[in-house]
Amino acid sequence: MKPTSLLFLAAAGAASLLPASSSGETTVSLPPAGMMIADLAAGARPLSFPLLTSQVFVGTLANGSGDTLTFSQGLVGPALIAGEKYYAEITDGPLEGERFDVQTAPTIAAANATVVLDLTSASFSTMNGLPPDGLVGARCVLREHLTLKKLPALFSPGLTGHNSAALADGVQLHIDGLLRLFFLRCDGQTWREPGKVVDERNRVIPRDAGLLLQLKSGAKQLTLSGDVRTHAFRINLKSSEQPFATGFPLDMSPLQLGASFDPALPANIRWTGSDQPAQADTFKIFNPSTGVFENYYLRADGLTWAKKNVPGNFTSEAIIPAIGMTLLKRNNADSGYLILPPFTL
Amino acid sequence: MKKTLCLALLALTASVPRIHATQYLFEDFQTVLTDNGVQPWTTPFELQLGAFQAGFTPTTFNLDLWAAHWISGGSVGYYDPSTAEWQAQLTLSDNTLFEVGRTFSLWAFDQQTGAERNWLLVSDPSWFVMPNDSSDPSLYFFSFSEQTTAEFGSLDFLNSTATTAPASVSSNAVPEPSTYSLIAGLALLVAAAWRRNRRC
Repeated sequence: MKPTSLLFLAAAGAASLLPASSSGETTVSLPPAGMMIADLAAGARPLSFPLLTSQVFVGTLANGSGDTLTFSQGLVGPALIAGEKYYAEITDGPLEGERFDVQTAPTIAAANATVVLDLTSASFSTMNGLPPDGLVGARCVLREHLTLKKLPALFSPGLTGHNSAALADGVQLHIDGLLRLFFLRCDGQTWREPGKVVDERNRVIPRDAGLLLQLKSGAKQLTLSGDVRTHAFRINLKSSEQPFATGFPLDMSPLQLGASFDPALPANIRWTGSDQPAQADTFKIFNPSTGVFENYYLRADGLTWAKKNVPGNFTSEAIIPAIGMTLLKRNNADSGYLILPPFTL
Repeated sequence: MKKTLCLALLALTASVPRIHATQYLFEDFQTVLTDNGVQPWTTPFELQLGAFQAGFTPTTFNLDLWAAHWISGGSVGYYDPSTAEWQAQLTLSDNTLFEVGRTFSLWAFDQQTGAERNWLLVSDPSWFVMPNDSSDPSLYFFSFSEQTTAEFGSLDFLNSTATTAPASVSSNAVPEPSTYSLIAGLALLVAAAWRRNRRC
């Protein structure tokens, strides 16, 4: 795979962020946008999606309780399309970065300023219940989830389907500790797992996860375009191996990710270092040249990141790719982990 | 003691984090499944990729024991008679269930248990277990070939036809080979005791 080329990344200039008006008139504030292009050869290609889809609805929250968010004004339901999947993301305040899955049908049916959420453990929501404080007055943005059915349009030429999984373009997603293959059928619409007849076209690719693209039909050009996240990105870290994506369109280092032992944190959420790689917290980054994951682990000093069997200190190296597939093996869970933007506006 | 050991093993299994794994996929789009070599089945069949426990030999005399000795990842595939499409997959995290080099079989069935059941069991020397490395997200694809042989039912690869056989024979009363060995050993002991008693 050729290196990803950033053709245009408006985030750095933040040209579209307008200054607040002092006269009290409404100010339109658009997020910075960007575009990323990558040439992908056939084979297993790691991908993640750091740019955001367009805003479907944005506003200030007037209330949040139970499984419902209420905006201070506007109609959310009419902005949604039946059958599509959405999430709400808090972009400022004490709950900055929290994401909540939206129940599309009841939100459309409500046809008012409320959003009905899916906070179940099966959802991709970063919290399984709304906290009593922190939501009122917060800015909240609704966007479409990325789903399998939206993948083919990101490539030129488009992905090619086939009823044989061996010949079809597909993706491997890391779900509950296992890599599972989903492939595009010959109708170009249906996605399936081998051996199963369930149509998976609406399966969500979570924002905090990458995937392995299995390109069988030949080389493609990937074009990602969208908004750049300018606020903190939340991930619920589990005490296991899990997919990991930073949420930002720049390669990042362990240092930028705050991936070090911090004695100020409670012991049960700290990063874990060890000079025994099998016992240390580990980033596993897929290398398309070798077709395997390469392991970087936190050493016993709690600060230094080392690469297994390779000398050197990778703490400040941008080893976590903006577009790639990274797995993180953590010893401790951390339900409040935040990644801060790796740039300033 | 046995129960304690089982619980300990269960706890050990539960504490080991699962890892990304190797996927084995079987698919075929040519072969028609029939019930007598001529008449295609019009009802769907389920498929499983797996193998029998070491030491168990599936025969027509122990059909009722097959399911209990069959090891598979739990994933059930399908044969779709409308398109003659076969698809099944097995995901393995390591080599504890199947050692490297072990040959997989494909079991097609309308039902695994019950009175009226029809089965096909085939295997192929090219369907073997690889080292399931946690850093190797490999996909292995299997299909019918000239080397595929039927252990139950039949396969005519050149004519793209697979045929099930009825598996309705209840044969719990027929002992397994290990049972025969036990009976033979007991018989020898009895004979030796009888000879000793006769000398005295």
